[in-house]
Amino acid sequence: MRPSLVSLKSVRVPVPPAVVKPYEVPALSSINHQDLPNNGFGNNNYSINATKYKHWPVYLKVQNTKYTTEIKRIQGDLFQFKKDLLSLNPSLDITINKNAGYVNIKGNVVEEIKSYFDTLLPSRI
Amino acid sequence: MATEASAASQGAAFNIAQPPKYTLASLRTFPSLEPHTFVPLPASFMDAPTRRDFLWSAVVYEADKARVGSGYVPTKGDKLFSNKKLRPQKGSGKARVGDANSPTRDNGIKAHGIKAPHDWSTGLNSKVYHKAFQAAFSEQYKNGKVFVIGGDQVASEYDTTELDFKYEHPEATRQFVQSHNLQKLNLLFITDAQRDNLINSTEYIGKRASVLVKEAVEVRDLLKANRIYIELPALQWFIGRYSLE
Repeated sequence: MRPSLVSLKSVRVPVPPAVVKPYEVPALSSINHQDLPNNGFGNNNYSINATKYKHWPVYLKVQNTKYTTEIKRIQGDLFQFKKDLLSLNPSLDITINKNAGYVNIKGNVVEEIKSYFDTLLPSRI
Repeated sequence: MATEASAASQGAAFNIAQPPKYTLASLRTFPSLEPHTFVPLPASFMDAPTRRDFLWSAVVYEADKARVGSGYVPTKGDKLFSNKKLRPQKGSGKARVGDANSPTRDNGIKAHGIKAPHDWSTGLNSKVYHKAFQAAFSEQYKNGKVFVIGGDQVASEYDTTELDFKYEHPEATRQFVQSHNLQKLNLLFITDAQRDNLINSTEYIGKRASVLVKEAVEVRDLLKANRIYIELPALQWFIGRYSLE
């Protein structure tokens, strides 16, 4: 007999609840002052983190006929990031969402932005 | 592609910097709240930007989940009245009627009504809920309202590194409130395990103090509190539990 959901229900073993691994506090002496707030981050600089699977967070947003390129996971000074993008390609039509850390660019420029990141960003953090 | 390569060769680059990894919280003893040392906590959890959209989603999710769903509207099937025909079919000179259970009559019966029990709970992506916890802790921490209790040294014999009073008498809470000027403020005590003295003593100020074990804490509780006193092991548990990116 092929296994079915009905037959499997009777032999289902309850899975134990996942154990929460608490945060391990690092030693105070191991903390560098540059790892702490007010290290200058956010003043004309920013960070873009790659996703868990090491992809750049650049996505195409399709809303019927409206195509938008969305860059996510940006922390810090988004106005500086907009300036830097415009210095690479002055024809980009860029809007920013400072609160969420998103940058939206009119049209489908996903590959262009990814190639900028590949060539100019240090590594996929 | 050609333009992009030329731009790269001109030296245009991104101004990348590393965001702060840690923030230092004071580690205090209870009930004096005297700081003894610092504890490094992840900036992503205690120094996250305030995202009101995440907080709103989480609070709505929790409020929906808390609804009992006991609303009950009587309908025809509940048979509040007798099945007896109210008057003969013919001969009265009035309209035809059946029994008194009709929803067209002025008797409180509805044609379609909600029936208990029903489930009002809604879904929320766990990433959003985790972000809401991060935003709630960060918001309170940045406003100086989070007090982390723990460590391994105490200032005097009256102090502990646990979030608990020595005695369960109401006087302990009264002195705590008075010495820290907490009158008319909502206090939230988050403990790692059940602390009986704290629970019994804080009954003195009633609803203005809530003592919760870590698993019972919701985003709403964090946002409602004017002061949060949390044990370090409980905070470590929260950071481990709600740190999805």
